[in-house]
Amino acid sequence: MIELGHRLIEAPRRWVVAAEEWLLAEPRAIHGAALCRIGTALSVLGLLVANFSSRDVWVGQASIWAQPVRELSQFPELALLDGVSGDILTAFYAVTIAAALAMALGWHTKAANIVTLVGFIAIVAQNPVVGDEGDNLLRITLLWLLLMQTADFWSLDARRRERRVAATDGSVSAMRQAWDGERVFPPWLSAGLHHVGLIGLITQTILLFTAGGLDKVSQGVWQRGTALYSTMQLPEFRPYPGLSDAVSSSSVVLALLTYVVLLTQLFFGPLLLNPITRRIVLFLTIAVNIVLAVLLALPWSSLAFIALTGLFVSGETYERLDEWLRATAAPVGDWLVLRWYDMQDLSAAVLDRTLWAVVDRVRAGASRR
Amino acid sequence: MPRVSLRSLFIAVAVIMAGFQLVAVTLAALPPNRYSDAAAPRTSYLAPYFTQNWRLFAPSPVAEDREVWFQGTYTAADGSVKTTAWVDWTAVELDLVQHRLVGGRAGYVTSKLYGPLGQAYRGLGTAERETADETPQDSPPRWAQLRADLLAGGASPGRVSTFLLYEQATARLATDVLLSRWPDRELTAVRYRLRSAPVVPYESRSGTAAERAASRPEATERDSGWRRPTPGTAAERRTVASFDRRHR
Repeated sequence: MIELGHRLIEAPRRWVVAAEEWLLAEPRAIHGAALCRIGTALSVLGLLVANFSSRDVWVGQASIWAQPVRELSQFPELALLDGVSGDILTAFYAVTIAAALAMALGWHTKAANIVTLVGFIAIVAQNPVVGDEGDNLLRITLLWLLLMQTADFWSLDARRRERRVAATDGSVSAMRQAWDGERVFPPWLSAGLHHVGLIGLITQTILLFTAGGLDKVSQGVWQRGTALYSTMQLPEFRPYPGLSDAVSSSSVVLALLTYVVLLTQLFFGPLLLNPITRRIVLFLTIAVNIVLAVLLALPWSSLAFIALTGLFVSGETYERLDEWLRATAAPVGDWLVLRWYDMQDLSAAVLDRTLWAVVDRVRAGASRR
Repeated sequence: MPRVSLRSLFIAVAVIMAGFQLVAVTLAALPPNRYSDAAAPRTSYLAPYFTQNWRLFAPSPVAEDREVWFQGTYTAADGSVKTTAWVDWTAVELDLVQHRLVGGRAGYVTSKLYGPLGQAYRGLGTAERETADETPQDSPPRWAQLRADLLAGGASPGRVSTFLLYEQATARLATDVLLSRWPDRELTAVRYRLRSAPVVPYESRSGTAAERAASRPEATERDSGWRRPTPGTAAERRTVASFDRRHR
């Protein structure tokens, strides 16, 4: 009895110790966070670049049809672009594109993440009518990524940090460190914030899939198995009519796709618990997103989903992938550098025989006079 | 030790906030039910930035093509009143989507607004719908007059406002589009047509193109009443005209 009482008194203390060990330990999933950062930024970048030529009709001065929705909307989004001219929209749009590119490259990552988040919300909020669940997901991801350490791998910030550590004694101002995307908080706090962001993002991702799956199985069209077929018949979701018809004419393919969509969404969370089922569900989720990206012309939302899926891949897998990629890419990189030198030699030889020969002749003629 | 207490404080705050967030997002993300409705006031802080769309990948997809067409009335050189041909604006927009893996979002604005436009119309009573439909072609009422006519029958002011908001936006787009096609014509009235054609039934999907086309249920159409031409700003008209030229 005394033992039980003692254990009960000690329990909260043990929980605090366990929470401290988990939350403040070395950051977890930093490879996944880096890949998620790259994929999310590329998704924003792709969406904005693809819509650049029709931006005025989508979100600008000619987005006439979106106006009633904007006026009726109770959604307190950022309204930075309400009623602005085409030139201001273009400038804002270009800054957001540049920020998304910087975020993908990991160049001043935190600053780029903030600008991308604000720019993306402001642009997309101008036309809520044509938004999709990919926008919603991107906004949540960009927000949680702010807390996380996303530039430890595959980023220009990481390269700069390595160079600085090698070259200096590390005495740089905190402001400069913050701008360069380096850690300015004590390591335990950085790790704690990273883990809070990680928990938030992972929770929302799992809930997103589960809730999406639950909603589908309650709908008649999914129960009858015609939901994907109907979507593929709509003009806006059949970029390649021949492909859509080929897929939708096969009951087996339709059934397979329908089941994979439903099962991967409904059981996404539970299947992550075992290493083998985790690999299966991640592979299927990525595969189904690639198929739907092509079939329904939804490349950017699919990329956002795939980027999030990357969070659930283990660090060891990424390290193996990184090693393999570097080993595979090294000869290609060397070959490209050598060809680049060849090109430079060739262009120098051509210039020697053409432009510089003419210049020399002119100069010689001028000096003779 | 101040460092230790700071850590403990951080852990306490993080655990409490993360726990609350987990419960709140779970309640808000699941399909609506009586428990999530009851908790709504406490989970409202999630909007807008943490709100997540639980309707992932078209849970209940639309099963019909939706098109918006525009037509205008103008005064010819001989003084007679003539109507323009119908312009299929949805087809113009769809050029941004068809045969492109990376399409543009401006490619399906009308198909997305088709629903709200019909809902705002159906929100009016039968008598108000008749008033809205039977506006004269030669002299459509001003917007203020149309509002007064609709309210005279005792319609809900909120529903009339919503209806007029969509009607005005549609009339403005119609005017910009028609001026883009026929810049020299002086428009006196514009109207729109909503056309929806159910997709090929699932059972008929394996037939030839002709068989599939024949199996489609009949399309339904609704023509709006005539509205006053409502041109947008010069910049807006230029943008619409440029979009129309590139994609028609």
